[in-house]
Amino acid sequence: MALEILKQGAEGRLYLGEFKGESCLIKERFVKKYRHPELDTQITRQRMKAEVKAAGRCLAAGILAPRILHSDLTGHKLYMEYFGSAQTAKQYIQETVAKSTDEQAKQSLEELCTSIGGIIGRMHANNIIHGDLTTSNILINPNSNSSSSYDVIFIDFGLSHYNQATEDKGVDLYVLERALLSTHSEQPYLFEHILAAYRKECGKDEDAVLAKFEEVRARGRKRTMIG
Amino acid sequence: MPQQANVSKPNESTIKVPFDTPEHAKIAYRVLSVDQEPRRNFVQKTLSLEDDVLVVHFSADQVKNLRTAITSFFECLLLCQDTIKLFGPEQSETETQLKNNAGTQSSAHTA
Amino acid sequence: MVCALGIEGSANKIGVGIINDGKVLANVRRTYITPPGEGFLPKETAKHHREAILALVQASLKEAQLKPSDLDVICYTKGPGMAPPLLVGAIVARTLSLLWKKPLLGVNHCIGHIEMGRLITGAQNPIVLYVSGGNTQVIAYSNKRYRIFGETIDIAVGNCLDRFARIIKLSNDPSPGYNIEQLAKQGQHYIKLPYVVKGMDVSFSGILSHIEELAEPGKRRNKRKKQQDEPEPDYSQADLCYSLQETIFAMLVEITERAMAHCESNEVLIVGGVGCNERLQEMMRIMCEERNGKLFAIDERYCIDNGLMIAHAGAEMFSAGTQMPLEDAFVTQRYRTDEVLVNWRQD
Repeated sequence: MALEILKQGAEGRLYLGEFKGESCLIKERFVKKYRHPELDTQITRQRMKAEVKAAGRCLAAGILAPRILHSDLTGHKLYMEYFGSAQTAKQYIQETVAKSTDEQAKQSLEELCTSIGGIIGRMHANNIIHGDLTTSNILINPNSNSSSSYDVIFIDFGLSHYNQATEDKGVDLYVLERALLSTHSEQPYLFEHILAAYRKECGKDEDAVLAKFEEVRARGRKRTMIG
Repeated sequence: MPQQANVSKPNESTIKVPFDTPEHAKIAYRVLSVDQEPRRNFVQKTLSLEDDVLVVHFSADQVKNLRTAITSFFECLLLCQDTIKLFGPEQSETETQLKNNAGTQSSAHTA
Repeated sequence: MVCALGIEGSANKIGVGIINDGKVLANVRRTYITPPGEGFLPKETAKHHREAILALVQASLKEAQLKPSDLDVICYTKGPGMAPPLLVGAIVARTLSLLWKKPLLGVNHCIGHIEMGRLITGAQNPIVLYVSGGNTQVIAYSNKRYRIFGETIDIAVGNCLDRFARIIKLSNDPSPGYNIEQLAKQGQHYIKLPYVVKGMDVSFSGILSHIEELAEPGKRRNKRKKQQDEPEPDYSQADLCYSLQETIFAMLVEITERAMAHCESNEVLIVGGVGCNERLQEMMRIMCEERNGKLFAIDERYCIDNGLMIAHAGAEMFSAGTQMPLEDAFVTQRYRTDEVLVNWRQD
């Protein structure tokens, strides 16, 4: 069966396929020839397992993530739920800014950030560390049934792990902040809204995580750079 | 606190460095005025010009800090003087040799 | 047409370069080389630079066959880097600027690398991997800034390599990284090391302490096991160099690919001292081919810190109308790439 390539992401190739009659997304982590074969096998297996586990943990905690239908470790393929009409948060933000007035854009992006922040907070409350929080890894899926007009779905859990350490949560937030600053430099207000919503949901370690986040941030700024 | 006692009786030093011309003294004055003393050194450095002489005054809470500040100042001063000697307009025609760059003849003295 | 002289001295190289309207006229450099097992310290490095810099300025003018009056602007590295060596370049640049009555510009070292790489390779808008002794950054241009997409969250990749070279007492001549690269070519066995990628960021300190223990099992701080129980290591120094390179370069290629996918870009430019490592270039080239992208890399003349890159970036700033009063001609150890307004790019 010839599969239609949707996209080549950083992690692998995405195809549209079918699993037991259900149309689905197939994510193939093809062999990266630049890496030592042993390292490549190790990383690929580790990332696939992480992705399956985290998606399961999210769904169990009531956090939206693609259902994993099947995992083919030897073929390096994951079969997962496909959100055909979704767009990435990155596209959504860029389109919103392009289409609406500054005031309107700001308002709807603040709403989006509130829901993104809340979800990350709940992930961390459940000790799920995403590991690669960027606006390319967040989907906006239109939904007429719920109170808001869309669902926010996190994807690409290949770098995720399960850890309750405040350090890991702090780094997760730092990675997101930097991704936002570099990708959406014209909307510098995004992260503060995410963080505000995050604090309400992230559980009992709120202050410790926030302190750790500040520390990780300071490390980045204060690092002396020689050469 | 011993430090506070020292502030009222600071350790001081004044260095006077003559240059060939007032223009060169002014260049050194401007070049060396840019860098601030590190705050944690508790050293105050003031530069001034007296015609072709660069006057630098240091005051510090501790002799040790005074020495550190003066040592690093001398390194910058010597480099600036050497640069002027080698590339200044008066010298630009003649081939100046670099060999002697460690022993410049500034008649600096501390007070 | 801008003719610029640039002075670089942020780490253990002191260099002077002259560029005229994008044409390289001179690029001279001296490196402070320490004995095996020793790194370079700020004071000693500054002393080395003080003793070399004026002869380098003379040599660059001679090579370019220019008189000071032919220059339009004097440029120096403002930061980031070690303050004492940086100050050497700044003092000479200030003095020359006043003596020759030419404007003075302070240049961000990282921006110097990026602009030099773009000039030499002709890459238009690449994802930049900047890898050196003090920096590890994945950079993309957007909206008048070079934005940092990913970076090390602890030590720089070059620092990791240099420190490992010191542990196994490799020569620092011409550079520790070069000697690791050569020794790695004889490596036979791949030894598993920690692999730490966090989003678009990487971490090297854990790898360094892990491989340090492998290299010097006798020095283990954690002596739970008795020495006799320890098996003789069945790997060589070459194996360690090989495995270290394979692991940390794979991490760098991975975050670069991540940034390419995120920014939908298909060009990569590698700059900085570690950028002349041929194995890193090879791995990056393979990654690019897998995604129909293109790699731009440069050789050691332009990759390793040099005065020319400061002259070139300064010339770009100068032609865009940037001015700097003398009072602002200080040096700063911390100076982030994204602090600089890139007013010379029109895209």
